[in-house]
Amino acid sequence: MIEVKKITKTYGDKKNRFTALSDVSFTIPDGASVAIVGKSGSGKSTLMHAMSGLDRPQKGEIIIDGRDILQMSQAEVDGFRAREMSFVFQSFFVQGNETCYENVSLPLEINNVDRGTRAERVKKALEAVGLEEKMKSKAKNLSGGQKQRLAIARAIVDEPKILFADEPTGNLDTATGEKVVEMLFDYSRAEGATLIIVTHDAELAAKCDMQVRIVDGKVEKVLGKKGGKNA
Amino acid sequence: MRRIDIAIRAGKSLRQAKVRTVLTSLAIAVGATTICLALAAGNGARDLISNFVGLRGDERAIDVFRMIPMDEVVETVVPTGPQRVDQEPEEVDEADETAMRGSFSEQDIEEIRAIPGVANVTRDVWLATVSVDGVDGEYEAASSVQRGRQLNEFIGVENDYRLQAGEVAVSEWYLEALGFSSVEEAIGETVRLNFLANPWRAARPDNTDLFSKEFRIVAGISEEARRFSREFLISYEDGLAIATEQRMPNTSLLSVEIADGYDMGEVRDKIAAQHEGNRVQSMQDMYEEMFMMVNIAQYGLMGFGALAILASVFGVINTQYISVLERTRQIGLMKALGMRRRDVARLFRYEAAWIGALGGMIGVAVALLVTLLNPVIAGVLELEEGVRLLQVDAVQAVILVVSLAVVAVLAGYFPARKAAKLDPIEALRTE
Repeated sequence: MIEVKKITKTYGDKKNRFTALSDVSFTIPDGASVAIVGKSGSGKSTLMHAMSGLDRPQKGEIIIDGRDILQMSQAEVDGFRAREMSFVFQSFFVQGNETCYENVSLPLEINNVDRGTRAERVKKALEAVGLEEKMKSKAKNLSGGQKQRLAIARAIVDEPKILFADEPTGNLDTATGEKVVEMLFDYSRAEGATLIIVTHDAELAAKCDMQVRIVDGKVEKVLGKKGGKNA
Repeated sequence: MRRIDIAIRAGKSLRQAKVRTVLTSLAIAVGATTICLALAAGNGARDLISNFVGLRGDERAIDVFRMIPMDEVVETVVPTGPQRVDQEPEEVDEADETAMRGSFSEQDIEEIRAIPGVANVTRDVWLATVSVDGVDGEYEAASSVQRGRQLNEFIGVENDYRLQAGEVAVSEWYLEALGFSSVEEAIGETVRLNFLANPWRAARPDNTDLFSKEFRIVAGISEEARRFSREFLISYEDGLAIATEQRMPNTSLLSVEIADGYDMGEVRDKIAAQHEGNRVQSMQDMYEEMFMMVNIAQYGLMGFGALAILASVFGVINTQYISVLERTRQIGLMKALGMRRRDVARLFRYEAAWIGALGGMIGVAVALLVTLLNPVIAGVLELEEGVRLLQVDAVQAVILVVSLAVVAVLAGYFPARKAAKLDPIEALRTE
């Protein structure tokens, strides 16, 4: 369970202060799919960064499985993120000059997984996204859709409990975007992982168990899907 | 993240920027080559000196040189008028001769002999040898006198063999001329050496008065020793007798043998105290003096290499800063995936280490290629065939490569720190 309690994040000094998040609170049950929706500049990404420990709000608590990650040291947060979380970004962020295998292997290396286990898991992850035949191909030779699938393989290879996806379909055509979304949901359902998607795509948001609507840094509404985990 | 995985990733990153990596490494390689060649030349020179000095003398011997003040030389040696070439030198008593020639008197020798730890004192004896009777006529020859326990490169007897009166050791070079096919065949046979009767008349073309002496061959001498006129080596006793017959002047050099169990330094200091003003030098001193000169030259060259490396350090810093800038998003991603700051810093430090090590390895490889020119160098410097003046030492080469890796890591410290401190969110936003 993820509990976001009264998070406030501001940028700038006294004269140019900008409040990105203001007193944000909500709770996400384990295994739920959540869409954080809002307009550009509303604070969606800032909220995702705060929930993942990439950014530190000035106020509030983010309690994951009973531990406030804002109270952890930087090294502890890094370790926690490496073990429990992963990301899929709009711009894929795959390393073009590396092979698909090397791209997917990175989170396992960061987590000190031994070489033999790594090979098995990378193969399994690439199979899950249908890229097993591209294992030795350079990432730069893949299409946009394949790159995002590769990013998903990298995100799921270490079986994270929480998967963040920041506008995962933003750079993809509709058909490819749907496939990618399907893969994310498939993983979430199969592994019981919490899926948190930052999007302004209403259709995608509607597929999630829960929607957190952000307007000007504040939670306007938290919606639960009928039959969903937060309903 | 495991160090080995970081090191592999660092290596892969460098391969992806091959041209930049190689160019930066080449800059380091210039300095590395210079240092490696300086070390190689130092090794070669020290080896050459060791062989040269080793052949020349005994490690348990001390040389005492008579140093004469210049004003005394002017007063006693310079003749008062032109000298006739056919005029025999006047008979002078020993005291006068000692003063004139700057040589040691018998009393000087006795005083040194009395010092505890001195086993024997011998003069350096010069002989005017003309020829040797060969199987088909006379051959030009030079002979010298055995002093102390020189490393004679003897064949047929132990190296520390002391020649007795009437005995001679013959250079292998002369065996054929003397009618022998091997040292073994020559041992036990006799050889006749011809000496100039009046060396003081050497300037006259009709100076052909010779006297001969027969010696029994007891050993061979390797060809190596020929460069010290050791074509025919005779005993000290014979040498002294012949020098007296030739009226050769006493030389200004004594060789003092130190008895086993005594400290060379202590005995040397005692002789120096007794003969103040003279130069007292052991083989060790000689080694040290010559090595010091080699070291100075070597350090000078290494200094140039170090300057080149210093210049290349800025190249490493620049390369690594560019690498951090180019890979900002990658760093952001790695940090987002949980890579710790210290591991990010390590990744860039290892990259720098690879660049340094690669530069070092290129430098060593180039230096090794240059050592192929050893025969040419030996030829130009007129050294003996087979002398290797450039000797790359494997341990030194490894230390050099490791040191350059360390230097490169130090150079990469600030870029690595910059990478480690990057804000992952900002890094991921970078276009």
